[in-house]
Amino acid sequence: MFILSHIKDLVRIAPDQFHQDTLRAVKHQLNNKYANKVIPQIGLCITVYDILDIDEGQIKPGDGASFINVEFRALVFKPFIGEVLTGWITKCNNDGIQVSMGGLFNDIFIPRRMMFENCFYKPDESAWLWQMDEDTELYFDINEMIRFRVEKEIFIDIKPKDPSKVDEEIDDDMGEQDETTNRTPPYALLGSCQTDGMGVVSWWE
Amino acid sequence: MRVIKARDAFFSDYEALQFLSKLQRKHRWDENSLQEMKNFNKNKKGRFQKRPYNHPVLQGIVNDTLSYLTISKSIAATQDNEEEKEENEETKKKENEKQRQSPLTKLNDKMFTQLMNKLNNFELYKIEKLQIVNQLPTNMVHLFSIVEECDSRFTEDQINEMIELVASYVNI
Repeated sequence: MFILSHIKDLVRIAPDQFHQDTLRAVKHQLNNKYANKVIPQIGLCITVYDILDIDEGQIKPGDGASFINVEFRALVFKPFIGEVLTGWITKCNNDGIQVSMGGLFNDIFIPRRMMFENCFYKPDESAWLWQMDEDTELYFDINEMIRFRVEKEIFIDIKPKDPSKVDEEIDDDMGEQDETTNRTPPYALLGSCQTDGMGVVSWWE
Repeated sequence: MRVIKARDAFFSDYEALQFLSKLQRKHRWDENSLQEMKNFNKNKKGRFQKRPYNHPVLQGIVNDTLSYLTISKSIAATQDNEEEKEENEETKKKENEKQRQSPLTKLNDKMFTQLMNKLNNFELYKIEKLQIVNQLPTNMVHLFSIVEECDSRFTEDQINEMIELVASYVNI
């Protein structure tokens, strides 16, 4: 579920941070940049794990800050393809099931074509249902603990907002706070529930 | 930013749990330190209190990751919990809380290496071993979902042995 990634970066330490220990200041800056951020093609960075190498600071003309080349390892959330994970169902709709892993990661989706055979959606109960055999119907209920296999990871490059439109959006935000839930995630996982042991955890115990 | 090696190493859930709880204590974000800080702010007495590290984003993700890692992923524990809730006794509550926690929280470094060494006796792939120590499967279906073609690669005795081995570390 987690990996360590070896990354090299140039860190800017502002003059007001010069009283601090270099290591501490560098870690602080790195955490500002990486903690809880998605690194494209890698995964969701949790925190800096360790610092491998720190160069001497350099200064650039016109800037009082010092620039330091740092090599470090980051603790990254990146399940591999085929890994089995456990999460909680947050939403069911006709296209599939939305799964979250606590506050850690929420953009997991199980599309309908990746579920067991004989699975169908019941719109009036807004729940998915697995007809295991003629008499047994099993429900995927919201907040149930669900086990799934990671099939695909999707990275979407999110462009910064157009500055001319930001003002409009601020006005919009006043009205509806729903904006955060409808955004496109920079990193999403597609899961499947097709083999024994997958699906709601309590079915198999 | 330059990525030198995207996957320098795999990191098990146990290691992540240990690393992050240490980090939490170091930055004084754990419950004890937060409580101390509260008391200190109320009284403004006593010796100087070290402040928690001010980094809300990092604190948020560390807390979220830890809460995901510590919560139990097996259904048996949570169900017991609900039944016993009605009795409403202090000690029972504490016991339940322990039950609801993932068995990962009960391991220590020595036990973890022991478990790993014992798993090395089986011809498992690295990835399968990683998932076994992450999820600690105690039933057959769960183990089969992690280990590919489990029934043809291992005999029934071996499979039972594996499950018993994991169970001996889970039920302490």
